[in-house]
Amino acid sequence: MGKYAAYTITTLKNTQVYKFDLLLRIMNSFILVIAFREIWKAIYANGQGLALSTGVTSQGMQTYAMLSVILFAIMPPSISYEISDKVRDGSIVFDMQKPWDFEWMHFSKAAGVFVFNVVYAVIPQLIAVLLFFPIDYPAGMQAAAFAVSVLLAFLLSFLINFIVGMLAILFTETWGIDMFKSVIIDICSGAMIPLWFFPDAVSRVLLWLPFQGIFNIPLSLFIGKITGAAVWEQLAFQAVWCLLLLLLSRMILAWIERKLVISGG
Amino acid sequence: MDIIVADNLVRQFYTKEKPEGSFQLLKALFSFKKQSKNVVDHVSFTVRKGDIVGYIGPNGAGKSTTIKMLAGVLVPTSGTVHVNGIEPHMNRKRHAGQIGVVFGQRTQLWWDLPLIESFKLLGKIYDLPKERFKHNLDMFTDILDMSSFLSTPVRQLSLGQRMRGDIAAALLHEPEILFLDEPTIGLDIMAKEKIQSFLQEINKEKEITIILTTHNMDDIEKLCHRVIFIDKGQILFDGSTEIMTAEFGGFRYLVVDAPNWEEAAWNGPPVERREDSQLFFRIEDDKQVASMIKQLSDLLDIHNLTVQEPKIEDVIKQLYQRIGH
Repeated sequence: MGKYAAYTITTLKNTQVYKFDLLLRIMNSFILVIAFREIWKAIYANGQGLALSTGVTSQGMQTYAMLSVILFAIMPPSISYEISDKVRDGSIVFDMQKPWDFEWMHFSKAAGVFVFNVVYAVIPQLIAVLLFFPIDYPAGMQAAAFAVSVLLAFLLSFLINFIVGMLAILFTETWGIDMFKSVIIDICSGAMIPLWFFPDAVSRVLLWLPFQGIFNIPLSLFIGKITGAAVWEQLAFQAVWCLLLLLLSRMILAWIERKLVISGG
Repeated sequence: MDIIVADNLVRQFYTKEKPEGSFQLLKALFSFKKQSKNVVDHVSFTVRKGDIVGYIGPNGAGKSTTIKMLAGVLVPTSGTVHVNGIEPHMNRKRHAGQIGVVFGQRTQLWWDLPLIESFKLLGKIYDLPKERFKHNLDMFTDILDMSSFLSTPVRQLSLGQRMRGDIAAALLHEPEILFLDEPTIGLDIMAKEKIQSFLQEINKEKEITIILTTHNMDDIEKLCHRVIFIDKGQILFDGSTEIMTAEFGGFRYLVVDAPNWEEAAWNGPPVERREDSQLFFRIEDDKQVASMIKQLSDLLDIHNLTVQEPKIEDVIKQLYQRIGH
């Protein structure tokens, strides 16, 4: 275990090198927080009976939108570009010939970035949001469920990223696949538009897919749209998808390690 | 003792077949025809413990592909490799502990962090006990002269410093075999010599087996006991550097110092190479020497004259020419 912890810590140190970059990212994200809040405020001001038909108040929706942007900041960054670059120039060899598990290694790295983002991006932003805007936040069990749900969302997002990254090893050209993944996650997870605004048939399908576990579930928990027994159901939904994707990623990894297609003569 | 045994190694790569005729682009989009090519084609060799072997050949000959199979990151299409009795790709984690890998054109060091951080992380990755890690690090810092830049971020290091860092990184866990892919590429003479003498030292003292691919003939001349020459995936020569020189050398140079030589007006024997005022004439047979000196002294104002053995570089050039490069 020591080697993975060391990898997480080294990643954490590495992420702290570019301070100005970090500052810009926080500002960037904060502008988005305000923009998304204003958009939903405007929609609610003009939409007749939106609060009634969706069961979410204007303030609840604003909270959802702001938190969605903040949550976006802690989701693991895409690894497919990095992997496909390494495959192309051959330096993937260094990663492949170390005595570690390739998936654990990538998870340790994602964990390092996660810790960094929570400390340097999420906490300052949460404080700013709490200071400047009125938001409803959960307490007690609901807050605990939210925290667990965020961790599961992170795990889901990591696994999807890792699987797409593995495909990068197979196809070397990944821009298309990665773009596709980003669009699917943006739309199907409820990150931009909550799932309850989709047509019934569409949202019924989306509710069965893993993507809603990344944004819809934790955000709905936060604004209290999911309560009571449904909380456990939704956490279980996330956990089951994590398990399924973990199995899938292990199968793909095992297959790739058997084949090991690395370019370059 | 044979530490590496490669038996009939083959690695195939697939390339998409390019359709011919009209609508090429459209056809290419829907074509799934593949062409296979043996990048490494039935290669067999063994390496004894403590040897330094130069693995040479033109670009695209299959050198890196062989190294990748020996390192366990590429599975052979057919044939077998055993390194210390282990099949590398079957037992990758155990194999990883006994090899170190350096690629001259890439780095495994953390670009933005002080050099020492990469070493510390590697110590953890290979589960090195603290004392052994410290001992090895101190030793490499000392002989590779790294103490002045241990805490400098890798991106600020010179190429020579970075290369020393990469070599230390590959050796920290005390591997028995070191794979070096063009370790001296782009280095100046001082940096090159530092690395060459270091490699000699660890080879002698720790009996580390070294497999080296290079385009730098100097490396081979100074380091290698043995050379394997590969082209188009097949071994064309495998033997000691002396045998190689005897077999593919077999000629000498008559070197003439003639400052007022003019290329345009020259009608004597062909000049193979020119360095300043020195002209190199090739002699295949010692019997030619006397007649050539006579011929040249008629044509030229000769200041000095020597007979030289070919350098390894010349021998390799000979090899390349023979296979049509």
